[in-house]
Amino acid sequence: MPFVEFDNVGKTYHMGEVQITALHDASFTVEKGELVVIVGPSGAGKTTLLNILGGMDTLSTGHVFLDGQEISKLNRKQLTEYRRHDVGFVFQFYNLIGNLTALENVELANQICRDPLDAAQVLRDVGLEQRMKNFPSQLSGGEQQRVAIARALAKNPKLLLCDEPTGALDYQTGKAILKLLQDTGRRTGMTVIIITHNSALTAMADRVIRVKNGTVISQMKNDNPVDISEIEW
Amino acid sequence: MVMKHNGMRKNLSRTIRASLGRYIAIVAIIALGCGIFVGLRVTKTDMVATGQKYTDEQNMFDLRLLNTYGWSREDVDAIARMDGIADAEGTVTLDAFAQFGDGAEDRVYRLHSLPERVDRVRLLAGRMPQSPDECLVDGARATKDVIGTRVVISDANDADTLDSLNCHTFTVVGYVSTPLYMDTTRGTTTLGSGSLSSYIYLPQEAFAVDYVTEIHVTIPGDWAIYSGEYNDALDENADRLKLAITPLAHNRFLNVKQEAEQAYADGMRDFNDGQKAYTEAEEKLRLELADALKKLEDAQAEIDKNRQTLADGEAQLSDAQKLLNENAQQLAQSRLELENTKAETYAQLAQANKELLENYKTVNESLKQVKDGLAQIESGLKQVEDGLKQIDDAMPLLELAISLQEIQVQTTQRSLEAAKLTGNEELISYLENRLAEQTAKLEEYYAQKTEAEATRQELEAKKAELEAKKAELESTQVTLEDALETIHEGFVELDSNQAQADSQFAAASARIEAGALELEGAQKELDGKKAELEEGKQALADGEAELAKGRSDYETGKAEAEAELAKSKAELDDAEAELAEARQNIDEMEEPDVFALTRNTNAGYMALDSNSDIVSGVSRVFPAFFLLVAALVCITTMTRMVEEERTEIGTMKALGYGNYAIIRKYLLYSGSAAVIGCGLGVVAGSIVFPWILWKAYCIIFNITPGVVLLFDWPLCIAVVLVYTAVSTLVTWYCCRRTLREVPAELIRPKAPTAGKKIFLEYLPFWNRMGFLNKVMLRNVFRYRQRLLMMLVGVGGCTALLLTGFGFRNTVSDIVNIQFEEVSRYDMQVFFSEGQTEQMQQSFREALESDAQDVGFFYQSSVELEHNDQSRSIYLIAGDSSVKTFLDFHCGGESMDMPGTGEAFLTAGIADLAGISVGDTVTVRTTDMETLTVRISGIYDNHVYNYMIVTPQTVAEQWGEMPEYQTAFVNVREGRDVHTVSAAIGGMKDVMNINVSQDQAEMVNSMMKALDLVVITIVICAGLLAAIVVYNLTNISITERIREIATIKVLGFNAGETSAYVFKENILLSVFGAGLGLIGGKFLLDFVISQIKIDMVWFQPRLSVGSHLYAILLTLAAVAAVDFIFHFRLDKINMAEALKSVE
Repeated sequence: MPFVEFDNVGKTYHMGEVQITALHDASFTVEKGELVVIVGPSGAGKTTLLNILGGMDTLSTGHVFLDGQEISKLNRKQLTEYRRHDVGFVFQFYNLIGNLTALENVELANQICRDPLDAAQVLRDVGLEQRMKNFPSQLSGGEQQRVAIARALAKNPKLLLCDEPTGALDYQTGKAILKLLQDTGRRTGMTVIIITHNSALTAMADRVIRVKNGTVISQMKNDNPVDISEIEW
Repeated sequence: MVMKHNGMRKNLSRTIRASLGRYIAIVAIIALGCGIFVGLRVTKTDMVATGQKYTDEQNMFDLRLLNTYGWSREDVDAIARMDGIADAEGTVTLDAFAQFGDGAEDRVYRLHSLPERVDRVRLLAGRMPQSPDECLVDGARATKDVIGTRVVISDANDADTLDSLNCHTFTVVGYVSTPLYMDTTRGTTTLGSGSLSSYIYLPQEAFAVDYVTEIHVTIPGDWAIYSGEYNDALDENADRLKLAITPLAHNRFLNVKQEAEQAYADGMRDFNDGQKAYTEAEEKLRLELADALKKLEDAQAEIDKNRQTLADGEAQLSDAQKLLNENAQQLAQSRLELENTKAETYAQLAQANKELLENYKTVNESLKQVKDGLAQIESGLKQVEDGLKQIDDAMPLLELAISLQEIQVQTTQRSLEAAKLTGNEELISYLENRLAEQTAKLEEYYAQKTEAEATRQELEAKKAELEAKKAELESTQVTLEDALETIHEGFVELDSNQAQADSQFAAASARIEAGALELEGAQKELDGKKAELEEGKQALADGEAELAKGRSDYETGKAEAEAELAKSKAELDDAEAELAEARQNIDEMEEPDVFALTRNTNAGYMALDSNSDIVSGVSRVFPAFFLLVAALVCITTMTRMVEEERTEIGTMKALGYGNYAIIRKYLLYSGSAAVIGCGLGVVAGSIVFPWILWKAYCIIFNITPGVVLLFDWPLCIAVVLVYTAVSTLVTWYCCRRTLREVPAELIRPKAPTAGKKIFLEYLPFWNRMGFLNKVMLRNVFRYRQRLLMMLVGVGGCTALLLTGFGFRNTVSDIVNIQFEEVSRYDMQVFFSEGQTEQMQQSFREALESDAQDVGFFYQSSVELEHNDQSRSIYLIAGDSSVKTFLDFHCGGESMDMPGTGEAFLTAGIADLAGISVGDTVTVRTTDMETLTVRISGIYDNHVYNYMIVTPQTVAEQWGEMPEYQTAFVNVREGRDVHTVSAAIGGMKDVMNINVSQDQAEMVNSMMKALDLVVITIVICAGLLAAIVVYNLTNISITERIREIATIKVLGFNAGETSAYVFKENILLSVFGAGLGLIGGKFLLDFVISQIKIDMVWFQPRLSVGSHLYAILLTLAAVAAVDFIFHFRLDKINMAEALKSVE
């Protein structure tokens, strides 16, 4: 049984009279501890896929499993619990709470979950030992994203979901962030799923899932992922 | 251009639709602010307009002309013809005790003659009077039940009052309102307790007077009531008219004086005539009495004579009767004797008769025996002769038989001898038997013959005896028959004796009866005479009775006549005294006091003005506050909107739109909200507030048919302009900074407001605080604008609530404080006349067991004239014992008593009239006496207004000690106030009793009117809080939607998310409410200071409960909004919110 399984997942939005199919017949599997890159052009349905997997959105058809638990069957309350304990999110725009310091942003997350990691330690792990007391507005984009990653990691989730984590960052910083993610995955054995439109990143993944026009067009296992520092784009 | 405009318009309407909640919040807060402002402002205008309409419609007087002697009808006409006078109408007013309904207690009513033109009444129910004994009554609190009630003018009124009315019983046919009494005060009077109970309108024909007591005058022109020009015109006309009417009053005075002189002269003449008539009557009476007395004595003499005659007659009759009685007795004796003789004689006769009868019987018996014996003897003789004859007849036969038998015996003897010879035995026996037989037989025959011969001899003897006996008997018979003859002769003799006796007795009886008859006749005659005598006696008795009656008649007549004379004498004396008094009065008659009083002296008219001022006073505080809140709501909303649409603005700018084109949308947004809000607000406010407040004031004012609702156009337009201007200015201010930025910056998302340390973090307890609390506190200080607005909005709500509740506290406490702390007496007793020391003492003694304290004072209703305004207050004069019943406190300081020439005044009236300690003021009594005093103290008192002076002050200025006609009474512990008051009510001179408890209840009920005002404030406050909190929360949530989505993504559940967002709301609400409590106290002080009512003085008061209610209601409003938003938060779509930043 795979760690993550998408089984013919479809998502249709109703916007008044109009029906928009964001996702259809999407199926893939992910094994535990893999670094997965989901790649596809804008509007292909990557984010929808991630939202469903992250418990932020519900699906219209199909089934989603994580670690043997069927996500697609959970109600709102259970989904909240699921997000709370099982998933960590990293967004393109960091979505830090502006009014909280770096440390506090991490604490915000680990305060509510069962088995959190020490917030300060996690921040140290992501290399922000010196910036813990700073507010997001006092941090650079890369640092903010590190805080976001730390916040996600501190919850000690089963799954780390990253939606265009480098989208708002410059090349070098983006690379550093990706490296952090890759290293973290490798070090902790956490399953990390990264969404990107940048095909170059597929090289670093254990598994690459290609999405186009609202469905999964291929998934392939990469037996020899390269270190992010070796990838150029 | 057209396209562009369309685009803009579409953009605007879409924006409004998208942010409808915010838009409505702006509309609502502006509507609320405008509504309250316009509503409260227009309420004053409406109240004044209502008063204007009413006074115009009822043609209320502008001036009232009064003088001490009233006015003649000619005066009225003369005044009506004066220049500058629109109309003048004379009316009669009269204060009198009356009973409203059968058996009701006496109260003082002011009776008005029903006017036709000026101060017309407005009929509320029933009909106008059609006959002089019908009346109309005060409609202030009347119900339909009152119609048909009888109003009885009490006999307790003085003669002048009773004489002034043609009828003394009136039937209520309707009730009215009148501009003379627009509020609940009914004025003062010199009668009873000094205050009028109510008014009654009577038809003019009900008054039996030829003058009017006052003239009500109107001046030409349409005047705005309470306006300066009108007041000036009133004063001017008052001065002018006073000059003009003084000669009239003087003439009136002369006329009245002349009339009085005439009346005096007439009286004098009448008196003299009376005097003469009295003397004549006295003489006449004397003569008549003497005459009558003589007649009576004659009658007595005659009666005496008659009595003698009767006595004589009676004696004669008595003698005659005696004689008669003797005769009658003799007669009776004779009768008795006769009867006796008669009885004896008849008894003898009867005895003789009886004896004769017995003899006769015996003789007859003997004779019969003799005859029987003779008959026996005859029969015996016959028997004997028969026997003898028989024997004689039988003898031959017997002898023959013996002869034969002897032959046979011889034959047989021969045959036997022959047979003896033959020896035949048988034959012999036989023959022997035969012979024996025949011989026996023969023997028998021989015996028979012997017997017969013996019988014969016996019979012969017997015959001889019988014949002897017969002869004896026959001789006896002869004797007897002789005896019988003798007896018979006896009978005859007896009969003759009987007859003789009968005739003798009959004659005697006849004689006696004749005597008796004669006697009877004599008796009858005597009886007749006796009857005559009785009649004579009766006649005498009658005569005596008549005489007695005559005497008593004489006595009564004499007494009556003498009483009559005495009365006449007394009347004459009275008349003399009256004449003397009249003389004195005439001599003392002074030039009249002339008054031309303006409308401003009418309590009700002035009360309407001051009450409308209260409302406008209250209205002064709210508008600025609500405008501030509206501006804040506008600022936060527009700031947020501009921030949200930053990119759009940037794009527009990049596309080349000018600043104006861009800003226009926002100006239109807020401007249209302002215009709509103002429109709704001014319309609703102009209707709702006057309506509600008028409802409340209807408890005080009796102005029909109801409030006039006006639109104060200038005010409304001004309000619309101000609100629109403020909202657009605020909008412009919000946009200005954003518009200054270059498009490139604008297109980029604005950096989120920087988080930073707040000052609290430097405090030691920061680190010990919970994580979410830290977030909350940072959030609180992150958005200053909102912090301010929240505090203002929530604080304002609390302040308003506290003001509302405090208002209620203030009002409801007044009565308790007044009647428990200030006026500490249980009742006030009013006497019909001044109580001397002795009377006071007896009153005290009578109440020994009921009353704790009793104090006597002078109390009178007076007019306090200050700063050209006249106000009714009570003047109390008394020594320091007044402090037992009244508490003189100013703030916390106790005061003693005013000195001579000084007075204490109650704080209410001092505030109202602007009098302070050290001022000198003048009061005027209803008798036009004045008292000028220096105010040496002002004390706290809430209900009614008093001036306290010492009796010395009064004595100094009036020349005499004031009359103590009022008593304060405190009942003993455990005694029922009403029981005691009822007991006092029956005492001498007691006219009226005011029980404090009842007054407290009355004032309390009046204060209920203000509850509606409180409710209005509470609702406005609640709306304010709800709108502000709603708007803020709404903005706060939209602004922080990403943040909220993020924490939701992090796995915060619904409750935790709400707590994260609302914690600051709650904290700010609590802070705001706390600030509101402080602000509310000031607001209450301000509002109360704006309220100036003549009768009641308010002092702001707040209870702990009011604080609690204010806070709880505020927090409830916040909680209600938060509750709504809790579901909004739950519905936030994380995926959508976090999608991306456009």
